[in-house]
Amino acid sequence: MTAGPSPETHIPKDETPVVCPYCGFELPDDEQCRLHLGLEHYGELGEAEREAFKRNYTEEETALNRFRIIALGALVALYFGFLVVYAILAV
Amino acid sequence: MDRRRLGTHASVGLLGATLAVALLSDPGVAHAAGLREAGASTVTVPTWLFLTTGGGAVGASFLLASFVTDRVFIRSLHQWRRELPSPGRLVAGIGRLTGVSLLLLTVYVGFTGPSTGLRNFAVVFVWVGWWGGYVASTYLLGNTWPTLNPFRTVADLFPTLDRPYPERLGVWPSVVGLLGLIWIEVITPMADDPRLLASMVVAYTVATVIGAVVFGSEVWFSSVDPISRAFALFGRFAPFKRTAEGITVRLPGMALTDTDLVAGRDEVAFVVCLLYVTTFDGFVATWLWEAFAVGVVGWGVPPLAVYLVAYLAGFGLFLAAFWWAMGLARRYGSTYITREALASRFAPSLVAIAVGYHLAHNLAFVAGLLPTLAVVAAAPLSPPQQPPVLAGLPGWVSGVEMALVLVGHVVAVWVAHAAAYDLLPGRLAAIKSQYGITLVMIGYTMISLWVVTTPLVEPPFISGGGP
Repeated sequence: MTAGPSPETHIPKDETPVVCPYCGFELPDDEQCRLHLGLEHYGELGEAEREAFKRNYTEEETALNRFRIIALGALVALYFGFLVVYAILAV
Repeated sequence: MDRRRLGTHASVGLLGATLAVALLSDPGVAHAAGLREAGASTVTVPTWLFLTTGGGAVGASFLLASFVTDRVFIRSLHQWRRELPSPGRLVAGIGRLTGVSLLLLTVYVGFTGPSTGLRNFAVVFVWVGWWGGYVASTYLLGNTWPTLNPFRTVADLFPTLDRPYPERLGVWPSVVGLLGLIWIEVITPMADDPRLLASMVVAYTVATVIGAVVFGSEVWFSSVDPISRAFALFGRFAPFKRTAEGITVRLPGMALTDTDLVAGRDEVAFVVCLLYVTTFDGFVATWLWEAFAVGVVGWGVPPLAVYLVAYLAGFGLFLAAFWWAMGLARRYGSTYITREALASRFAPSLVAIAVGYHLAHNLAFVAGLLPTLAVVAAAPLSPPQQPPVLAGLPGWVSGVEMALVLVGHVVAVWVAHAAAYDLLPGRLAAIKSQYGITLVMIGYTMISLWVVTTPLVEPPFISGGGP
C-alpha cells in the first residue's frame, strides 16, 4: 500500500469497524487490521503487534496456497477443456 | 457464505455471457473473419467457441496474475523509470505551428477541395492521419497533444476572462462532450463529406476557443475538452511522459497504476465512456444491430430515436456493469472502502482495454488508406482522380487485431491486480476483490472480439457510420 491519504470508507449500519490507532482507517475485522498495521505502520509498532502481524501474514500464506491450488486447477481445467472442445469441433 | 454468493454471481455472469454468445453466434458456421482467408492451414471454429476462447484467455490471465502476491515485486515493476532530457522550446514551437497549420489546411481543403471523401485531404487526414494514426501515437509513444493541440494554441492568443469554473460540474461536461462527438460521428456522413467535416471542425474550434477564453485554457482542456481528456488518459498507457524535469520512460501501461489518475464518479464515468464509444462505433456496423434497428423501425419508431436510445442505454449498461463489479470488490475484498474510491482505482485498467480496442479497430483501416493519405497530402489542392488504396491486406492482419484486443485486456487484468494490491491489506482479499471486474472484462473481451471480427455492414438508416 502507498503512503498517502487513506481511501474513503463507508460502514454499513449494523457493523462496527476496527479502527487503526495510527491513521484512523476503518477495517472490517481484526485480521485485516493487523495486516494493515504491519504494512503501513511497521516502524511504529511494538514487539507484540509485530509478532501478531507476522503470525497473521503466515496464516494468510496458508489460505493463499489453498487459493493457488484451486487457481492452478482452474487453469488446467480451462486449458484441457478448450483442448478437448477444439479437438472435437475444429476439424 | 462468500463462496456460495460468488457461485451465484459467477453463474449469473457466465449465463449472461453464454446467452450473449448464443444470441450473437451465426447459426453453425463461424467467422474467425479474415483469418480463415489466410490459407489452408487455418481451421474453422464456431463463433461461440472463438469468443469463449477470448474470454477464457482473460480469465486465465486473472488466474495467472493471482499467483503474483509479492507486493515488492508488483511495486518495483510499476515504479521502474528512466529520465531523458526534455525537448527544447524550439521543438515545442514547431509542434504548435504544425498543429495550427494542419488545422488551417484541413478546414481550407475541406471547404474548397474535391467533394469525394477519398480524394479530399481533410477527410483522409482527419480519419486516417489523426483519428487512426495520431491517436495511436498518444498511447504507443506519448501524449504530444498538449503541445500540438491547435485549439489550445489559438485560444492562448486571446486574453482569458478567467471566470471561475463551476466546481460541482467536475468533468461531467467532458463525458457529455465525448458522447456528443461520437454521436455526431456515427449519425452524420462526417467520414465521407468534406464540407460537413470542415464545418464541424470550425464549430469545434469556435466552441473550444470560447470555452478556453472564458474559463482559462488550463481548466478547459483538463476538465471540459473531451479530446484533450481522452488523449491525456491514452498518454498514461504510453511509455514516454513529459514531466517538469524532462521525459520519463516507463513500461507500457504501468503509469495506469498511479493513484492520482482518476478521482470521483465523473472521472470514472469518462473512462467507461471512452471504452464504450469505441465499442458502439463498431457495433452499429454489425448485422446484429442492423437486424435490431430494422426490426424496431418497422414498428414505426423513428430511426434516430432508436439510435439515441440504444446509444444511451448501452452507456448505462456499461456503467452499471462496472458499478456492479465494484460492489463485488467491496464485498469480497473485505473492506469498507467506498465503491467510488474503489472505482477510481480500478477504472484506469479500462484504459488499457480501450487502447487495445482502438488499435485493433483502426489497424487495417490505417494500413489500407496510408498510401491514399501520402498521395493526397502530397498534393492536397489537386489530388489524383483515383488515389491508391492498399487492397487485400494479408489474412494475418485480422489475427493481429484479435491479439491486440487480448493484449489490451491482459494489461487491464494486471493493472486491476496492482490496484487491488495497493488498496487492500490482505493479499487473498486483494485477489478476491477482482472477481467482479474480471467477469466484466471477460464480457468486454467477448463483445469487442465479436465486433472486431464480424463482417462490417453499412449502418442502417444513416448515411454516416464513420470509419
